[in-house]
Amino acid sequence: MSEAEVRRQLESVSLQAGSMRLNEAMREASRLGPVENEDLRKEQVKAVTMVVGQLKTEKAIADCVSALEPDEEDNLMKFVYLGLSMKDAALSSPLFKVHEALTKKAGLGCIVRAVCAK
Amino acid sequence: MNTIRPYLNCIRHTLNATCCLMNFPSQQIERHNVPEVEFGHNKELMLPPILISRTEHEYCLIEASINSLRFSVKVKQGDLLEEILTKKFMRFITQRAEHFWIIRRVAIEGYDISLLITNFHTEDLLQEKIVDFVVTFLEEVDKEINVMKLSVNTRGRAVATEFLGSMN
Repeated sequence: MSEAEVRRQLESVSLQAGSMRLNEAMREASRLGPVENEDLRKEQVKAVTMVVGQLKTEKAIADCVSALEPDEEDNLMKFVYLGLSMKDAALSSPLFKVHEALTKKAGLGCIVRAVCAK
Repeated sequence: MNTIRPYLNCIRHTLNATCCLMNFPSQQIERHNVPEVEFGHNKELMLPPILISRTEHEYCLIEASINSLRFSVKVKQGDLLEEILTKKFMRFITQRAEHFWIIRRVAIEGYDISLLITNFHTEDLLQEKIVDFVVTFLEEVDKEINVMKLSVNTRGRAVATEFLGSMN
Protein backbone atom coordinates (compact mmCIF):
# COMPACT_ATOMS: atom_id res chain seq x y z
CA MET A 1 0.00 0.00 0.00
CA SER A 2 1.30 3.39 -0.93
CA GLU A 3 1.83 6.39 1.31
CA ALA A 4 -0.82 8.30 -0.62
CA GLU A 5 -3.38 5.57 0.00
CA VAL A 6 -2.63 5.62 3.74
CA ARG A 7 -2.89 9.42 3.90
CA ARG A 8 -6.26 9.25 2.07
CA GLN A 9 -7.35 6.65 4.63
CA LEU A 10 -6.30 8.90 7.55
CA GLU A 11 -8.18 11.84 6.04
CA SER A 12 -11.26 9.71 5.60
CA VAL A 13 -11.03 8.57 9.25
CA SER A 14 -10.88 12.13 10.56
CA LEU A 15 -13.80 13.15 8.32
CA GLN A 16 -15.92 10.23 9.51
CA ALA A 17 -14.96 10.83 13.15
CA GLY A 18 -15.70 14.55 12.79
CA SER A 19 -19.20 13.69 11.53
CA MET A 20 -19.60 11.33 14.55
CA ARG A 21 -19.90 8.30 12.24
CA LEU A 22 -17.64 6.41 14.61
CA ASN A 23 -18.41 2.88 13.42
CA GLU A 24 -17.49 3.83 9.88
CA ALA A 25 -14.42 5.70 11.14
CA MET A 26 -13.23 2.58 13.00
CA ARG A 27 -13.79 0.39 9.93
CA GLU A 28 -11.85 2.83 7.79
CA ALA A 29 -9.01 3.02 10.34
CA SER A 30 -8.76 -0.80 10.42
CA ARG A 31 -9.06 -1.29 6.65
CA LEU A 32 -5.31 -1.09 6.05
CA GLY A 33 -2.66 -2.72 8.20
CA PRO A 34 0.33 -0.92 9.76
CA VAL A 35 2.86 0.37 7.22
CA GLU A 36 6.68 0.23 7.25
CA ASN A 37 7.16 3.99 7.54
CA GLU A 38 7.37 4.68 11.29
CA ASP A 39 5.91 8.21 11.24
CA LEU A 40 2.96 7.12 9.16
CA ARG A 41 2.46 4.10 11.41
CA LYS A 42 2.29 6.38 14.47
CA GLU A 43 -0.31 8.50 12.67
CA GLN A 44 -2.35 5.38 11.95
CA VAL A 45 -2.23 4.45 15.65
CA LYS A 46 -3.20 7.99 16.65
CA ALA A 47 -6.15 7.84 14.24
CA VAL A 48 -7.37 4.63 15.90
CA THR A 49 -6.92 6.15 19.38
CA MET A 50 -8.75 9.28 18.30
CA VAL A 51 -11.76 7.23 17.22
CA VAL A 52 -11.67 5.13 20.39
CA GLY A 53 -11.37 8.26 22.53
CA GLN A 54 -14.73 9.41 21.20
CA LEU A 55 -16.39 6.15 22.19
CA LYS A 56 -17.34 6.95 25.75
CA THR A 57 -18.72 3.65 27.02
CA GLU A 58 -17.57 0.06 26.82
CA LYS A 59 -20.85 -0.83 25.13
CA ALA A 60 -20.13 1.72 22.39
CA ILE A 61 -16.66 0.19 21.88
CA ALA A 62 -18.14 -3.31 21.79
CA ASP A 63 -20.77 -2.24 19.22
CA CYS A 64 -18.07 -0.61 17.11
CA VAL A 65 -15.86 -3.68 17.24
CA SER A 66 -18.74 -6.06 16.47
CA ALA A 67 -19.23 -4.35 13.09
CA LEU A 68 -15.68 -5.23 11.95
CA GLU A 69 -14.74 -7.95 9.47
CA PRO A 70 -12.11 -10.55 10.52
CA ASP A 71 -9.29 -8.85 8.55
CA GLU A 72 -10.18 -5.51 10.10
CA GLU A 73 -10.15 -7.10 13.57
CA ASP A 74 -6.62 -8.38 12.97
CA ASN A 75 -5.45 -4.97 11.72
CA LEU A 76 -7.04 -3.25 14.71
CA MET A 77 -5.32 -5.66 17.11
CA LYS A 78 -1.97 -4.86 15.45
CA PHE A 79 -2.63 -1.15 16.00
CA VAL A 80 -3.57 -1.85 19.63
CA TYR A 81 -0.24 -3.56 20.29
CA LEU A 82 1.67 -0.85 18.42
CA GLY A 83 -0.06 1.78 20.53
CA LEU A 84 0.60 -0.11 23.76
CA SER A 85 4.32 -0.27 22.95
CA MET A 86 4.58 3.53 22.75
CA LYS A 87 4.72 4.01 26.57
CA ASP A 88 2.10 6.74 26.53
CA ALA A 89 -0.51 6.66 29.29
CA ALA A 90 -2.97 8.69 27.18
CA LEU A 91 -2.84 6.07 24.41
CA SER A 92 -2.79 3.01 26.67
CA SER A 93 -6.00 3.62 28.55
CA PRO A 94 -8.42 3.56 25.57
CA LEU A 95 -6.42 0.83 23.84
CA PHE A 96 -6.88 -1.53 26.79
CA LYS A 97 -10.65 -1.17 26.37
CA VAL A 98 -10.41 -1.96 22.67
CA HIS A 99 -8.17 -4.94 23.42
CA GLU A 100 -10.74 -6.31 25.86
CA ALA A 101 -13.62 -5.87 23.42
CA LEU A 102 -11.65 -7.34 20.50
CA THR A 103 -10.50 -10.35 22.51
CA LYS A 104 -14.06 -10.99 23.63
CA LYS A 105 -15.29 -10.92 20.04
CA ALA A 106 -12.44 -12.42 18.05
CA GLY A 107 -10.77 -14.60 20.67
CA LEU A 108 -7.11 -15.43 21.29
CA GLY A 109 -6.59 -16.25 17.60
CA CYS A 110 -6.77 -12.54 16.77
CA ILE A 111 -3.96 -11.87 19.27
CA VAL A 112 -1.85 -14.70 17.82
CA ARG A 113 -2.29 -13.42 14.25
CA ALA A 114 -1.48 -9.85 15.31
CA VAL A 115 1.63 -10.92 17.23
CA CYS A 116 2.92 -13.30 14.55
CA ALA A 117 2.58 -10.79 11.71
CA LYS A 118 5.91 -9.46 10.47
CA MET B 1 -7.30 -1.49 41.65
CA ASN B 2 -9.80 -0.63 38.92
CA THR B 3 -7.20 1.38 37.04
CA ILE B 4 -4.74 -1.50 36.86
CA ARG B 5 -7.37 -4.10 35.95
CA PRO B 6 -7.42 -3.38 32.16
CA TYR B 7 -3.60 -3.58 32.08
CA LEU B 8 -3.63 -6.94 33.88
CA ASN B 9 -6.42 -8.28 31.64
CA CYS B 10 -4.41 -7.35 28.55
CA ILE B 11 -1.37 -9.14 29.96
CA ARG B 12 -3.48 -12.19 30.83
CA HIS B 13 -4.95 -12.51 27.32
CA THR B 14 -1.56 -11.95 25.67
CA LEU B 15 0.13 -14.55 27.87
CA ASN B 16 -2.66 -17.04 27.17
CA ALA B 17 -2.16 -16.49 23.45
CA THR B 18 1.66 -16.65 23.45
CA CYS B 19 2.25 -19.34 26.10
CA CYS B 20 1.84 -22.21 23.64
CA LEU B 21 5.09 -24.07 24.11
CA MET B 22 6.35 -27.40 22.85
CA ASN B 23 9.52 -29.39 23.23
CA PHE B 24 12.11 -28.42 20.61
CA PRO B 25 15.66 -29.78 20.73
CA SER B 26 18.48 -27.41 19.90
CA GLN B 27 19.20 -27.11 16.17
CA GLN B 28 22.84 -26.21 16.80
CA ILE B 29 23.95 -28.56 19.55
CA GLU B 30 23.25 -32.28 19.40
CA ARG B 31 21.31 -33.82 22.30
CA HIS B 32 20.78 -30.43 23.94
CA ASN B 33 17.56 -28.70 24.73
CA VAL B 34 17.81 -24.96 25.37
CA PRO B 35 15.16 -22.27 25.85
CA GLU B 36 15.26 -20.62 22.43
CA VAL B 37 14.26 -17.22 23.85
CA GLU B 38 17.48 -17.23 25.91
CA PHE B 39 19.64 -18.68 23.15
CA GLY B 40 18.31 -16.13 20.66
CA HIS B 41 20.19 -17.27 17.55
CA ASN B 42 17.26 -18.79 15.69
CA LYS B 43 15.05 -15.93 14.56
CA GLU B 44 12.61 -18.29 12.85
CA LEU B 45 11.75 -19.85 16.22
CA MET B 46 10.97 -16.58 17.98
CA LEU B 47 8.01 -14.21 17.90
CA PRO B 48 8.61 -10.45 17.79
CA PRO B 49 8.78 -9.07 21.36
CA ILE B 50 5.54 -7.57 22.67
CA LEU B 51 5.75 -4.48 24.85
CA ILE B 52 2.63 -3.65 26.85
CA SER B 53 2.87 -0.36 28.68
CA ARG B 54 0.47 1.23 31.12
CA THR B 55 2.54 4.38 31.55
CA GLU B 56 6.02 5.56 30.65
CA HIS B 57 7.35 3.96 33.86
CA GLU B 58 5.20 0.83 34.13
CA TYR B 59 5.43 -1.74 31.35
CA CYS B 60 6.15 -5.35 30.60
CA LEU B 61 7.86 -7.25 27.81
CA ILE B 62 6.76 -10.63 26.52
CA GLU B 63 9.30 -12.52 24.40
CA ALA B 64 7.98 -15.82 23.15
CA SER B 65 9.59 -18.63 21.24
CA ILE B 66 8.70 -22.19 20.29
CA ASN B 67 9.75 -23.75 23.60
CA SER B 68 10.01 -20.86 26.06
CA LEU B 69 8.59 -17.51 27.04
CA ARG B 70 10.31 -14.73 28.90
CA PHE B 71 8.19 -12.17 30.74
CA SER B 72 9.92 -9.07 32.12
CA VAL B 73 8.24 -6.42 34.24
CA LYS B 74 9.10 -2.85 35.14
CA VAL B 75 7.16 -1.96 38.27
CA LYS B 76 5.89 1.57 38.86
CA GLN B 77 8.29 3.46 41.12
CA GLY B 78 7.15 6.98 42.00
CA ASP B 79 10.06 8.08 44.17
CA LEU B 80 13.45 7.05 45.48
CA LEU B 81 11.98 5.17 48.46
CA GLU B 82 9.80 3.03 46.16
CA GLU B 83 12.85 2.35 43.96
CA ILE B 84 14.84 1.11 46.95
CA LEU B 85 11.96 -0.99 48.28
CA THR B 86 11.31 -2.52 44.85
CA LYS B 87 14.97 -3.34 44.39
CA LYS B 88 15.15 -5.03 47.81
CA PHE B 89 11.88 -6.90 47.31
CA MET B 90 12.91 -8.20 43.88
CA ARG B 91 16.34 -9.16 45.20
CA PHE B 92 14.62 -11.14 47.98
CA ILE B 93 12.50 -13.00 45.43
CA THR B 94 15.23 -13.63 42.86
CA GLN B 95 17.56 -15.05 45.52
CA ARG B 96 14.87 -17.69 46.10
CA ALA B 97 14.19 -18.24 42.40
CA GLU B 98 14.49 -22.03 42.60
CA HIS B 99 11.46 -22.16 44.91
CA PHE B 100 9.34 -20.24 42.38
CA TRP B 101 10.51 -22.40 39.42
CA ILE B 102 9.71 -19.83 36.77
CA ILE B 103 11.52 -16.77 38.11
CA ARG B 104 14.80 -15.84 36.46
CA ARG B 105 17.70 -15.08 38.80
CA VAL B 106 18.71 -11.98 36.87
CA ALA B 107 16.23 -9.54 35.37
CA ILE B 108 16.63 -8.36 31.80
CA GLU B 109 18.29 -4.94 31.56
CA GLY B 110 15.78 -2.14 32.01
CA TYR B 111 13.34 -4.29 33.99
CA ASP B 112 12.85 -5.15 37.66
CA ILE B 113 12.16 -8.87 37.40
CA SER B 114 12.00 -11.50 34.68
CA LEU B 115 10.26 -14.85 34.49
CA LEU B 116 11.26 -17.69 32.19
CA ILE B 117 8.57 -20.24 31.37
CA THR B 118 9.67 -23.28 29.40
CA ASN B 119 7.78 -26.19 27.84
CA PHE B 120 8.86 -28.33 30.80
CA HIS B 121 6.98 -25.99 33.16
CA THR B 122 3.86 -26.14 31.01
CA GLU B 123 4.10 -29.95 30.98
CA ASP B 124 4.32 -30.18 34.79
CA LEU B 125 2.04 -27.28 35.65
CA LEU B 126 -1.26 -26.01 34.25
CA GLN B 127 -0.69 -23.20 31.76
CA GLU B 128 -3.77 -21.26 32.98
CA LYS B 129 -2.47 -21.40 36.55
CA ILE B 130 0.96 -20.16 35.48
CA VAL B 131 -0.73 -17.16 33.83
CA ASP B 132 -2.88 -16.67 36.96
CA PHE B 133 0.28 -16.68 39.08
CA VAL B 134 1.94 -14.05 36.89
CA VAL B 135 -1.09 -11.73 36.99
CA THR B 136 -1.57 -12.18 40.75
CA PHE B 137 2.15 -11.53 41.27
CA LEU B 138 1.84 -8.21 39.41
CA GLU B 139 -1.15 -7.21 41.54
CA GLU B 140 0.51 -8.20 44.80
CA VAL B 141 3.84 -6.50 44.06
CA ASP B 142 2.11 -3.13 43.87
CA LYS B 143 0.28 -3.74 47.14
CA GLU B 144 3.41 -5.01 48.91
CA ILE B 145 5.49 -2.00 47.86
CA ASN B 146 2.75 0.38 49.10
CA VAL B 147 2.48 -1.47 52.43
CA MET B 148 6.26 -1.44 52.89
CA LYS B 149 6.41 2.28 52.09
CA LEU B 150 3.71 3.06 54.66
CA SER B 151 5.53 0.91 57.19
CA VAL B 152 8.86 2.69 56.58
CA ASN B 153 7.23 6.11 56.90
CA THR B 154 5.45 5.09 60.12
CA ARG B 155 8.63 3.71 61.67
CA GLY B 156 10.61 6.76 60.58
CA ARG B 157 8.05 9.07 62.16
CA ALA B 158 8.04 7.05 65.39
CA VAL B 159 11.84 7.02 65.58
CA ALA B 160 12.11 10.73 64.86
CA THR B 161 9.46 11.58 67.45
CA GLU B 162 11.19 9.43 70.08
CA PHE B 163 14.68 10.71 69.26
CA LEU B 164 13.76 14.37 69.14
CA GLY B 165 11.46 13.98 72.14
CA SER B 166 14.37 12.72 74.23
CA MET B 167 16.33 15.85 73.43
CA ASN B 168 13.71 18.16 74.96
